[in-house]
Amino acid sequence: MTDISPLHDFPWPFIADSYHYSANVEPAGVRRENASGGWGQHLIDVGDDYLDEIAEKRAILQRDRSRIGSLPHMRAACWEATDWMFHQAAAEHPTRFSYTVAGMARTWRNLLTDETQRFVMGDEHSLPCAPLEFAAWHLQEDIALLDQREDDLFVDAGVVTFASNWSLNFDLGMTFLEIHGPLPLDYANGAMPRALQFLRRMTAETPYRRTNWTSTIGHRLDLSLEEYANWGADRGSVDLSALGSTFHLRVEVQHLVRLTQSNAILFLIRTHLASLERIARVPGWADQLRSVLETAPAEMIAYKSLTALREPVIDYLSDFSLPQPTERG
Amino acid sequence: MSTSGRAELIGARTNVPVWPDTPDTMITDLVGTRVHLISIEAPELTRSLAAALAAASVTQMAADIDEQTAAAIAGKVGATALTGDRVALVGPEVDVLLLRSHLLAAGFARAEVRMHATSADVVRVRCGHCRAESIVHARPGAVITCSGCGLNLYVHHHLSPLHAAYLGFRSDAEHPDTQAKAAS
Repeated sequence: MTDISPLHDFPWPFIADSYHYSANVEPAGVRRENASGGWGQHLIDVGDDYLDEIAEKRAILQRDRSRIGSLPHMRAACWEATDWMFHQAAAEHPTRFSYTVAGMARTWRNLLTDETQRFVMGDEHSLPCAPLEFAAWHLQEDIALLDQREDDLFVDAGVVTFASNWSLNFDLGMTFLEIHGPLPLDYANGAMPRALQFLRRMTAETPYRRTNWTSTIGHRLDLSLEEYANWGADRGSVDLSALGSTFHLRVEVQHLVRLTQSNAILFLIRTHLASLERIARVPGWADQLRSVLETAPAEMIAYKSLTALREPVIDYLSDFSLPQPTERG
Repeated sequence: MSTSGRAELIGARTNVPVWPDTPDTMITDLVGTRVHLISIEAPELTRSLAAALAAASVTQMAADIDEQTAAAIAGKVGATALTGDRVALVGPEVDVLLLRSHLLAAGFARAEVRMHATSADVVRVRCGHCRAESIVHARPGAVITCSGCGLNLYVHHHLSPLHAAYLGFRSDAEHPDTQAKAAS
């Protein structure tokens, strides 16, 4: 069913009319206004689609346990991350969640799903599953934990159900740069090493965030590599006459938090989708997206899987261009 | 990683190892108090390396190491390792990568393990869809048949140190009607 309802609080990732290589990291928790409303005031985001996405996430985790990964040395970091996320969620959304602490005992209440869980920090038997998975049952974000050692960052734990064309199971244990490879050289030599250096020096005082964007055919959150054999065909056989409803801009709001005890970095990925026809109805966005696609280098367009669709999307957006000022004679 | 990575590999940075003809850098890089040399079917090279590295121990193995053997060797080295110990691995790429993955699991840091491949014509490919691993004569960029699910897999330029395997993903997923030819 076509959804052309107005976009609401969509995290529009573009701030200029051209594409720039950038690590685009900024302090978290600051609301950014845009033509659809605004976004970014919360590190743990709860959307209108919370219940649907949580149901989808739990179903994926039930049928595919490979979406969960943790190397043995990450046990303490997993507990610490879970504790931090529940504290944060309850603080930011007190009408939706509560989290109480009594020594090592914790009580988590999810008022949206009407669930209560008491558990003891560090005691796996007090939860129905591993702590990071339990956190994932309640939060829309995908979760990754980066261990810092050897002057590098390693993705050594996570629960990821809405991966964009990658596999936590395959990438577990990789360094920050390895995960992202193969990388276009400009990225490999520029933004990525700078991002790594930035992350290694992050302190617990200031969480940060960045956005990342790509595209999806269909309103599909689970673009995992595990499912590629199924969703890849959608990308190879796009009905151009229905581009407005099938082509989706996929924006990840990524939060980065240094954990104080384990020194791990918690990497949260909240994925938002918006169809082209909904984007085109937001004043100014059609022109801006068209301009970004026109100016992005070919290798970056390929990296974002847009080579075949760049021109059709530009054509579609051109029909929604705002009237340009005319010269008076 | 991106399944569209095939298109932009020219000029891309990957983590596919590039092996020098001789293991010179292994000798210059490997600074530690004790060096354990593990060699797979490279007797002459082993003798010269053992001398150059002043190896504290030398283990000679046959090729085509399986998981169990790799785990046993790594466990044995790890159990007696002291601070400052380093491990040098010499042999076919598929074998040294497997040994390294088990050494990492045994607690060695990446910088403490050095590898030199004497050949690289065989790869372990882990299917991104069914997670079966296939050991085949191929290099990244080839198309193989998954030993688990039977799909045609593109061998991606994306290597997992943990699994000691290259990523394989369905080569014809976006055009399922076109049958890619798999390497035998």
